[in-house]
Amino acid sequence: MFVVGLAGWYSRLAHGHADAAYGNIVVWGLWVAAYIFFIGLSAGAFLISSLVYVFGMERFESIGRVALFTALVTLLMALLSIVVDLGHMTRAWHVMVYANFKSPMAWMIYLYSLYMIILALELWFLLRVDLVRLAKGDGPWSWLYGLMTFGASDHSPTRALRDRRVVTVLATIGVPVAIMFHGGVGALFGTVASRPHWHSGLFPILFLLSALVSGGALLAVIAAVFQDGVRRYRGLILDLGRLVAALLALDVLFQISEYLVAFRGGIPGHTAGLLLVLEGPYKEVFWFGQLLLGVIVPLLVFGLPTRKNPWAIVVACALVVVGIFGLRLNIVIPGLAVEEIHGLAASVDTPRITPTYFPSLSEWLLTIGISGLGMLLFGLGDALLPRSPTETH
Amino acid sequence: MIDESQKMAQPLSLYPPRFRQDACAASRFGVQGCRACADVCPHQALRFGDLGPAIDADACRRCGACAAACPTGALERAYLPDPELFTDVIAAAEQNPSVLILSCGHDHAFPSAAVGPEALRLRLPCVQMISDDLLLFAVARGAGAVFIESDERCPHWPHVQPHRAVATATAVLRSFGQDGSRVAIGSRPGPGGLDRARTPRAARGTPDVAPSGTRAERRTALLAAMAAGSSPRPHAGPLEGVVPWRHVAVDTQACTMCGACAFVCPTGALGLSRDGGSLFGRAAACIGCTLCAGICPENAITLVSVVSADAEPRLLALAPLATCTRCGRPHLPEPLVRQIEKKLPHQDGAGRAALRLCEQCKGADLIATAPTPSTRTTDNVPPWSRAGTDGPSRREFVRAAGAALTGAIAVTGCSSSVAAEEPEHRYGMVIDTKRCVGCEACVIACKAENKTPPGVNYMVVTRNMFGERPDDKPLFTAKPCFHCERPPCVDVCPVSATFKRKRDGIVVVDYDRCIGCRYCQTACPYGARFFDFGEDYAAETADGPYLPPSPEYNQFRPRVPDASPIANVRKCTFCLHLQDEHGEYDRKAGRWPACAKTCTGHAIHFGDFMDPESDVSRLIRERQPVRSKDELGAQPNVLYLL
Repeated sequence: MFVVGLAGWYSRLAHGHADAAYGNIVVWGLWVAAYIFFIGLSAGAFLISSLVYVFGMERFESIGRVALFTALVTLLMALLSIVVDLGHMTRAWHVMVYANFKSPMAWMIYLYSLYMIILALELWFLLRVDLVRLAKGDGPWSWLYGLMTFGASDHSPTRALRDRRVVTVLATIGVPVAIMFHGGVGALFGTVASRPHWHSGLFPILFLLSALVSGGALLAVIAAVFQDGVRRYRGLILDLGRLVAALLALDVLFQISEYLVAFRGGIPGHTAGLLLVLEGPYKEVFWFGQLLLGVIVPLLVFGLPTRKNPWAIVVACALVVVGIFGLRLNIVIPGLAVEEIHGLAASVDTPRITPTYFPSLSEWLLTIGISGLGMLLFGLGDALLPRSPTETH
Repeated sequence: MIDESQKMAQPLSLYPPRFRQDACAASRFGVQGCRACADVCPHQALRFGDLGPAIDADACRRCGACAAACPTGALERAYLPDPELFTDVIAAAEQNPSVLILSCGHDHAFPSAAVGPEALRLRLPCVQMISDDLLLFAVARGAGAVFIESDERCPHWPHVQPHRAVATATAVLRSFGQDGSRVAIGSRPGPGGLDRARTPRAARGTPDVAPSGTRAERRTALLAAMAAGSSPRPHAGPLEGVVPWRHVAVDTQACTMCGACAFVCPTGALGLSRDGGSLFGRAAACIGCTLCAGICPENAITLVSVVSADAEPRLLALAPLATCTRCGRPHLPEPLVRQIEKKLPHQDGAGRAALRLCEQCKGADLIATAPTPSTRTTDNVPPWSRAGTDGPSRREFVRAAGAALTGAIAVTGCSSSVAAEEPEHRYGMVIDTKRCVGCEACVIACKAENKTPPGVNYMVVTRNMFGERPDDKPLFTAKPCFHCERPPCVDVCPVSATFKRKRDGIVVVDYDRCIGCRYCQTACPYGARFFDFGEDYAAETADGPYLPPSPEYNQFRPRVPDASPIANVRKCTFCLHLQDEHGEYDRKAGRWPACAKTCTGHAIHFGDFMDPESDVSRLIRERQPVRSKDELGAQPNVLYLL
């Protein structure tokens, strides 16, 4: 998949945005949807890791490291997705220099930069003792571990204990940052008054909830496949499944509220985007992707006796992740696919000024490539990351 | 049975008639049409200007003659409006008097002549308010005859309007085979009138016809009811000089299907099919204002006096459509293209060929062949951008000036650092949708001026149909950037690359700072921002593809892949590169936004809202402009007149 993605990268770098299918009405497309999807996974995984490191829930201890690693990898995937979406990728640093504190996007960028630093530090402190130990061992990769220790050499239990305290502090700072930055992603959309589909006070909350659902679900999948987890963490995966089921139900409740309020209010501008989702060009994504695969089937799995089977839970969680991706698509695109001025698209005959959008081949390839890169990183992590504490002790 | 009721003898109004300019058929686009109101006014209180009649409130004595004469209902009496007048007259007519006498009920009322037992007298505030259809309704609803008492001692003498009403009603009655002398006017019900009144009156053929709706609808319903029993025949003689009952005849040989007549017709009696290939007429809706005959460039239209109850659209002229020689799409009526070709005998080959291209193909060509800075001669280089030398050095100068300007823009972005920057202008537009003909000259002019690539349209003209009636016309809305007072796009930009200039309120983009995230596009409520995807119109020259740089911000950036403005968000700048060094526009010198400069219907008014004498300031004072999506609070500086 990573190799397939190279074709997408070539297209983006050689032809700029000319190969992309979005236009001047639907100005954001698959890449932005992928970005908020990945960043939601990251925030969700991080917040679930905080159950361990902030709230001290021992039950989830064994996936703490995997959760942080997942948060870091999906954050990288998200940043890649959004950087390619910029018109001028090389100017991304402008945000740090030419600040506009009125812009939700600027705030989001500052907050996730902070989040990325906290996340990387937290993971490093968590792994440092193990890294030092492995660097002193004689495995084929010990030189690499040595590099990653950044000169630290102490792997005594006291050092481990002190590191753990640092992790707790970092994680405690990280929780509000993660909530703010992902709520900020929701606010980025929610504050746009000219797009009634987005302009709702529920949006930041919905983003956080969906992040927790998708992050938790992805963790269940990764905990199962990562470092042979399904045998070791059977009970844990079942617990995660219950957590995801509860969060998913809450998420669905919020969405029902969003739809009911919009349709009972009946303002045409407000319902136009939702109608595109329910019966327009995006209805398959909604009914099949979001509702059937993303909600009904997983809830059945969580409810029926299959809830005792870790593999069934893993499949259900994978479906939840797919469903949330559908949700992300159906946030970004229908919100934009309603003409702001009636008759705008009809007045100019060009494929760039049209409310219809389907991602181009180049967009798909690049997104697949980013997913492939993520999997590659997970594979490397699977092979190289120090095994979790339960095994090392 | 004599009813001397003074019920209607109210004093005349304090106020002159109300006037609705949008319904008036007096003048459109420089063509003079209907003058019915001025013809009948006994006090010479009506003066005609560009926008139709203006009532001199001091001269006007409120007799109501003009409102009775107006064939479109654009003038309305301030007292006893038509619905009430018709209700009262019809109520009297339904008592089946042999003669319904309509007489003056004012304080100076003249002694009434004795009338016979079958007569009924109804006093009106003034007999000047009697219209032809009022008489016809009275007859249709049961009056044996209608007689208007007209006396030269009346302060509103001469009684042109009631005399015309009687003449028209007589002619209409005759054309339906009825006794035309059932309506009459005179100083007293003469022997003839009363004699006739004593004869058995005609059967009430059309008791159910109701005087509802607009004046045209009222008339159409009346005619349809009258025609139900008899077939109307064209009536020439007595209708001459009487405005409302005519119809259009088209010389199909001369007609080029240009559609000017349909566009100018105030009632929808003429209509052009959407493809432009056929011209329709609805006889019953014609008010005979003669605007169509006046505007027809081929003199192909004659007005025939006729009484017709035909409310259905009938084909008047039909023409084949010419197809675009490049893409094959039908675009204009063939006779129209031929006529233009005939009128341009010296046009060169390329120009002639362009006539047979559709708008899309022609637009692409126009952009490709527009002069670039390097090919401009000193004659057509405006003085404010002239740099002394020709060739590359001049171009370098322009680019350096552009760089300096960019620097200036970057500085103005940090508002705190520039204290001297005081608002001097607030540029904006007032767009009169009633004057917009949907020709899209502004769209093409903007493309040619700003050299925008495909998919980037600073100016668009939207077309929305409201209603399906044949006389419904589309609402054309020319839409540039609104340069809002509180621009939502500016607040969301994460890098402050877009901002509103303090000096003149123009919202600009710093291309070198913009990262192309397109958040501003989502935030703009008016679809006024466009991402430059780096695409270009396919225009080839001997040296390869032709990629003209845009003069925006006087920067003349070449179109190089991945270099700004490609992959930036772009927008209308009110053509600020045409400002002089003091930030002033000059309309006479041609330094004026391209769209406003080119507008054929003078619908786009551009100017400075801080100058109380500017066109735009005057228009917002005198008219009722609206702002698009005002509830969002962006406060656009482009306003619309509806």
